[in-house]
Amino acid sequence: MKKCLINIFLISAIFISPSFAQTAKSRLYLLDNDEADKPAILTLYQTNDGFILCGTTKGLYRFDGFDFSQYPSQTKINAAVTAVFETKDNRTLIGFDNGNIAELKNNSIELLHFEEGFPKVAIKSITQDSSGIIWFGTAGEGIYFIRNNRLNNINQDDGLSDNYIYKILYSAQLGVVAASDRGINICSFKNGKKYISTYTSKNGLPDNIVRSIFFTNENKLWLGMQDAGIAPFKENISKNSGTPKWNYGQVNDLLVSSSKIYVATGDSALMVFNYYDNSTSAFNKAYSDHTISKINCLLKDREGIIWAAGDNQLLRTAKTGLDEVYKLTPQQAAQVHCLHYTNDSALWFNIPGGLTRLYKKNNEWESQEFKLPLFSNTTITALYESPGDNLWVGSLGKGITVFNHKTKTQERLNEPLLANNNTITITGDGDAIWISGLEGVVTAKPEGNKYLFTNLTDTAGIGNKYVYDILCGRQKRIWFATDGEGISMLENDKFYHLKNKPGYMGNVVYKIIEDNYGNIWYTTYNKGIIKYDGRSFTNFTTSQGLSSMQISGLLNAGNYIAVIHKNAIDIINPATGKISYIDKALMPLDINTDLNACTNDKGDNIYFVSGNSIYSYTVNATTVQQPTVTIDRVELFLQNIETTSGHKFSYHQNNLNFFFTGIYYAEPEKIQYQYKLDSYDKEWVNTKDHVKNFPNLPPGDYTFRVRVSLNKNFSNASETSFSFVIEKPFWNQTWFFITAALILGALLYLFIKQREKHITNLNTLKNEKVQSQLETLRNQVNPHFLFNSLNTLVSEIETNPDIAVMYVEKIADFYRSIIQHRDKDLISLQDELSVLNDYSFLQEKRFASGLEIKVDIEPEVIASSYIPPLVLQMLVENAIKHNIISKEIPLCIDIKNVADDCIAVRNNINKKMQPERRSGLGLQNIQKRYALLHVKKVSIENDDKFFTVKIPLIKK
Amino acid sequence: MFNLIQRMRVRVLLLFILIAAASAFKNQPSQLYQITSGKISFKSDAPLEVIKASSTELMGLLDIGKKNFSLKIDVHSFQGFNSPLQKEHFNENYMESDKYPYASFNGKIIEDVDLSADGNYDLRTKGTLTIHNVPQERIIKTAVTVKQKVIIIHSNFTVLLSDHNIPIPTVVNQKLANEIKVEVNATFEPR
Repeated sequence: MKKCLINIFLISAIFISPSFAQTAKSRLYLLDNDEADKPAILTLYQTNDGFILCGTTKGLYRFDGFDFSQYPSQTKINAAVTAVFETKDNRTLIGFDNGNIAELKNNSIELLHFEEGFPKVAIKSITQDSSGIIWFGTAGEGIYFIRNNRLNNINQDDGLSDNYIYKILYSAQLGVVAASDRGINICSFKNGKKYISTYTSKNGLPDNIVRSIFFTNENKLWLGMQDAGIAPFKENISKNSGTPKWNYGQVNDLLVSSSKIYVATGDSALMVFNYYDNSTSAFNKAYSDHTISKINCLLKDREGIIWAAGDNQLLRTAKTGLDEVYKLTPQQAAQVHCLHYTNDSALWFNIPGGLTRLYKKNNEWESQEFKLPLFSNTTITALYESPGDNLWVGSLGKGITVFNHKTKTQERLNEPLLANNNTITITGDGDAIWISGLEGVVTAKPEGNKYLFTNLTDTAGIGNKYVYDILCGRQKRIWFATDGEGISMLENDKFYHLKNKPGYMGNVVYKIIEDNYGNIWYTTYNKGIIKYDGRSFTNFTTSQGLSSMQISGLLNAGNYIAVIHKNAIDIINPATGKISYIDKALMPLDINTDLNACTNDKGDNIYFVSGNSIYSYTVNATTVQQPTVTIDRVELFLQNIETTSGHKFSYHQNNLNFFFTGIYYAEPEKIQYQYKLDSYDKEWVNTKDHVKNFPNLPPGDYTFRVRVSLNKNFSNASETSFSFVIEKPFWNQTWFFITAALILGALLYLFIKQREKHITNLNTLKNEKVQSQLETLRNQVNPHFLFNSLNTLVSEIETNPDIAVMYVEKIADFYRSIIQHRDKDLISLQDELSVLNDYSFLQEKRFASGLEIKVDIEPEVIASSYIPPLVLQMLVENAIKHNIISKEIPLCIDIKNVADDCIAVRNNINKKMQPERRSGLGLQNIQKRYALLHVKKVSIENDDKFFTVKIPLIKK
Repeated sequence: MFNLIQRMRVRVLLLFILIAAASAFKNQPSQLYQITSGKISFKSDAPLEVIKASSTELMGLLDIGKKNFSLKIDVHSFQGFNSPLQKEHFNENYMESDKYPYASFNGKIIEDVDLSADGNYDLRTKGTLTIHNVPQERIIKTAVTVKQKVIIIHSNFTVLLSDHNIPIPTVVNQKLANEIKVEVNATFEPR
């Protein structure tokens, strides 16, 4: 939004009215831009988030208490904004003088679309009825309303009295009311039918041209007319109900607030009239304000401030709630010591030598003076009315007189402690009167025509003779504010001293009151205000928001508590502890600080003396409106983003700016902010800035919260928030972790499975080895071998006993070798050859020349090589087993090293006709054992002539 | 007949417009125009089927002095459906053309214009649109071209079937849109 140059003028003006003077400070804001042709404000509207929107000849502006900023438009709309309205579902609609209708979306103006097209004349006013139908009043085409997103029209053909509509408003009682060039039209749309009833001069309307209308809080309709001034609307309205001799010109706008009617007139700028519910036609002019000569529109904001606008000027006028009750002479003003509001709605105060009674007649204050001759030479210090219109008047040095203004009687009390004494305060609870004097406290109970007095001067009771204030509280408790001994309380004739309670504060207490919740509040000499809830003490000082520590008065004001200072009045909400202020900018306060010089009525009003006047101030939800705060927009990397709370940002979208604005038009400069980014900031951070930047936020769930206050007390402050999520980068996301874990798990599983398989393999190989050893053994103890060997032996024993002995030795050697080597993984080639040698000897003896085993291995190879045990023996045995051995076809087995690390065992092939059973087992065993040793593979070559097995040698 | 019931989930529709009657103004004959050629077409753009039809039998009168007008059309005259069966459903099930043979739009021009002068105008008309014997007040935007006493109008608008008590059986709601787009073109000449 484009910021405009702002000029602020403070204008002090004194307005004299027939009855009383009103001193008010208004403030003028200029909507200025660089162009020669300044925007003129045509309409004012306050949205729910608190901003005042100004529809101007140059577009829509927002006013935040300091600046005007213009709303940008999606499409160029070259037209003045003539109407602004916010619907129940928080859509802000904008009507233009060319008939266009737009909506405010994301701080920018977007044209709506209707199949029917826009009206061709200005949209003067927009409203919404209880069924949600939105109504538009146009300057020449009657009334339009939206139903099912379709524009429908009501004009003179339907019975409307005139097609030129100035203003359209809805009230639950009357319906949609349109002010036109020919009277008032009340319209509704039900069950597809239009209903219109009209009120024109024929029905008694004083003027047919009704330019403005206004509904009061009580749903009373007021009319502002072309020539006949203003009038309340009645169905049986009469011709003479207008304002007689109205000479202020046409009424452009009007509004009614509490007891005043504000009228934007054609000739006399802003006219303010006193408003009495019962009055019929005459309006009593209160004052006028000519700051802006031609006022187009008025607005009462939620703080109760009345705004007026015309040309490029926006005027903040008096805040409602503060009214001047009575003008005092400076001499009177200096001598007022006590104000007292009585049950008959009269306000009493002292004047030299007497009393003045103010009372309301025709809603205006009238005064009555009473002389009190007894007090002509002294000062009246305290007032209290007991039942029966008996006014107890306390003085300095002259005791107390009971005065009855109806019976005109004056009775001086003769009680010794009171006579010729000083009175500090008087109060009562219906049946007993409590009087505090310099000598102690006295109670007076009426008995017949007399009073029964009791003195409470014993310091052991109250604790101190000097009592500033007495409170007759609930549950028949009497509270005493003492000078030095804190608060004493009397219940069932027994005294209690709050001083003895833990946490008690304040020895010198000036005022005590009890709020609607039963809490006791008291002011102290230097400890500010303390709230006592029956258990604990809560202190309110300047750091909680009090205007100052010098407090002269403490009053109940409706649901609130008013704190009177010399130059300020603070309003405490006892439910929340929030403190708000009377708008000092509108009236400089110079308050009479006498302890008794302020009072309150049974309603919302407090009364006090400031300067030379007595004022009343109405304390209600409007006047204690606290500031509110809105998050205007959010920027991502300095770019405006269209987003609402709950947005998700990706991990790199982490530089965010939050723009927020607090709204408190009475004193915008008092606004203070605190912000906190939940799950980032630990504590609330104070700021006066309107923007907060968070660069480089880590991923997480955040809520940006901002709250606003008029002082350092942020408890129960108005707060707004924007929640958002910055997502983790994908490699930090849960789904990524899960996937990664799954993949890792799968890999690990595969690895373990692989390893298990490997181990199983090894075990299998080990088994194979054992198997092969068994096999070898089994082969070697093969009965055939033994049988053959023994047969050979038998023949040798007979023919050649020496050889036989040797043969037996060889058998023994052979078996010993087997037993010796079978468990080993490797043996030296030497050992293996020696086993083979034994075996060959045995077999050669058996087969004689049919078997020839040749071993031809180089000695250095023999010396350096190792081999799994019995491999060569097994191969030889295999050859013998599978081949026919005879003299004709001898079996030749060649064993030689073909390389440094390889022995070839080769035999010629002469296969037996019937193959041996279990054939191939021996070879397989050898192969598996080599696999187990992880050395080179055993290779087997088998051609038609030779069977060759190449055995790798293992070098150590 | 059986086949017909089976294909009951069918098609459609609509409507429109016309005529009039303004014989009361014969004393100002130059002010009164009547349609010499007119065409009205509609389109239902449902997710599963597009239905279109049109009629050239648009009748109408326009009083450029009083700025009121009346248009009328015989619902039976719509042609160009996807199938004869569709047309039958249009007339029998939806428009009930035998009971309510005409659709009409009677009303006034909202804007204050002089249609006797040549020019192009964007106007809005406000009147009562009666379809299926259900009147609805409508504002309808119309582009108007006046050239040498010939007035040509062109208008697009939509009609909600629900506005005119034309029920859409749930079995065909994917084939029949509730919102029907209507286009009107007509040429008026002095009577």
